[in-house]
Amino acid sequence: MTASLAIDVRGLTKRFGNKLAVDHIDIAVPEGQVWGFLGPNGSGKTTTIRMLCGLLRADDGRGTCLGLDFRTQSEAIKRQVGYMTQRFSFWEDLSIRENLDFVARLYGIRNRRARIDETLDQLGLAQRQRQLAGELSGGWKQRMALAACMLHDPRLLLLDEPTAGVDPKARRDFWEEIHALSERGLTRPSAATALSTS
Amino acid sequence: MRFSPRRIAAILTKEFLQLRRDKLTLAMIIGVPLLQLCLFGFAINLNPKNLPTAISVGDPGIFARSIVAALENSSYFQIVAQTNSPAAARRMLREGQVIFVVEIPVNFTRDIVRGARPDLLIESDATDPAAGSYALAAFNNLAGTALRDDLVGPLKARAQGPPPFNAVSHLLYNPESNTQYNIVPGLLAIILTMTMVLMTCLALTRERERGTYENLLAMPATPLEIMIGKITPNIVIGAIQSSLILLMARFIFGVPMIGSLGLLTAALTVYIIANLAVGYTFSTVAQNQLQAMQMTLFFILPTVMLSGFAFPFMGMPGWARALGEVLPATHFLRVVRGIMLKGNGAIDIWPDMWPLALFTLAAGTVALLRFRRTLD
Repeated sequence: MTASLAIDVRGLTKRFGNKLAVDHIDIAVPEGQVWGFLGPNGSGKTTTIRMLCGLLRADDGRGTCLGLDFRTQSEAIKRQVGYMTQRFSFWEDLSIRENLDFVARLYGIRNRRARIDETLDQLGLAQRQRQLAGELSGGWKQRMALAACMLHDPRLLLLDEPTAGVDPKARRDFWEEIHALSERGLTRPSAATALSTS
Repeated sequence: MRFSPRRIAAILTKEFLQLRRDKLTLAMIIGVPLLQLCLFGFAINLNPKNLPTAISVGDPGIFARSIVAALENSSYFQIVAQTNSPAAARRMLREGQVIFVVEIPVNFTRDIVRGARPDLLIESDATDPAAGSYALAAFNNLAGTALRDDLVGPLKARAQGPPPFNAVSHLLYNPESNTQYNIVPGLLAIILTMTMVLMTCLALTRERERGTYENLLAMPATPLEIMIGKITPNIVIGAIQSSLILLMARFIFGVPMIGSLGLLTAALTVYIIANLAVGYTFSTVAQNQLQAMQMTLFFILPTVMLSGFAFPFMGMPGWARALGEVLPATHFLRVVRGIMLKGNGAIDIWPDMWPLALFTLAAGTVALLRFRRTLD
């Protein structure tokens, strides 16, 4: 496969005050694959992912994410990336459907209803769509979060410890889902990539 | 389980450790009493003196000069303007530059000499009845004493018997001295500050505290879009609150509405936006909802005390008035009372509208500048 690189950065660096959180790391992830990004606690995995999707400003380093300069084109990157935060970060006082609807509107997704229905079916959330996100158990929350970051057909999924605190069965299901998605190229014919810490 | 002092000690240690790291709560423990002591101790004066007064002189005779001297010697009045046009003096009263106008009538000297006992009129801005009551009492006493040194020789007879002139006071804008006329419009300013600053501040810190802020930033939404989207509901809430207060003012407290409702609505809009901008700025600093509430308290306290809502503005020393002039509520209070009670128009409220607009602009700029696109 002459895959081009979904993520291609070199010398990525981030300091918080005097503390060096990420020290000149290079990442090259080919398109269309599921990649794991491993490291002990506090080694800077979350910080790295946040820099890749423009949530934190990098102190040093250069490169591209989906062919876009991650330091100057983060707004464009945000549109094509699905980022799943480590901690559940959706609105617990909204239902699953309301959360997804909000996300879909922010991304300006066309045929919103149909797209949400499709995603809900795909992840087995259809029957729970009226339930408040705050009432879901850990495993269902992960599913909802995954649904939300897939709604806009991202070319790249950035998953930050997506199965932390989830029971082994739910964890296995989750990863099967991710691999299935990757094989389908997410929903887009072009190759899709998932980078995950776990 | 047996009662254990050791466990209590453990809990105490934990509480003190947490308190020591909670800088804002610590600041509040020291700051709030200090602030209250300073404001109540030094700034608040329930017997205000040196109140700005304009004097309109229809007769610049010797007695007029004695009246001016007597007014100033009473320490309640500070003559800030002297004019021979009653209309000009009245205008200063309407704009709030002075709260008294003393009018020395034409032929004042002649009438006193003749024993005709002319009227010496004082007009008082009674929108805040408490501010001027001591001064008015002092004014009424002037009749008997002001001219004592002048009525000598052939005029000695005038010094005996009834006072040589009548001290007449007119309470303008609120002739019955209803304190509700002052408090109810004032509440408009205070309630809006309380809810607008707090609600806006909470709206954003809640997102940050629950982690949903990270999600919001990861999605394609610009700072301006987020700001407008989060603030608009609060503008609606502010409009509902304002309507409620105005309806109650009218139909329950009988507060007059002499000026234009449209003008008041325009001023209200600026005032609401000013407070939203303050709330938004606080929310960019506050780390959680508790801090948001604490910061709001620090803003509300001076607003209630220094704006002229709870205590007469003119009674405060210069430094407190200078602080008060910075607060949007101070200007808005004058605007509301001016429009509702005095029937002020756009030109009359301009001296208070431009500082309000300036504040809004400054606070809005800070709010937008402090908004971060990233989590840094």
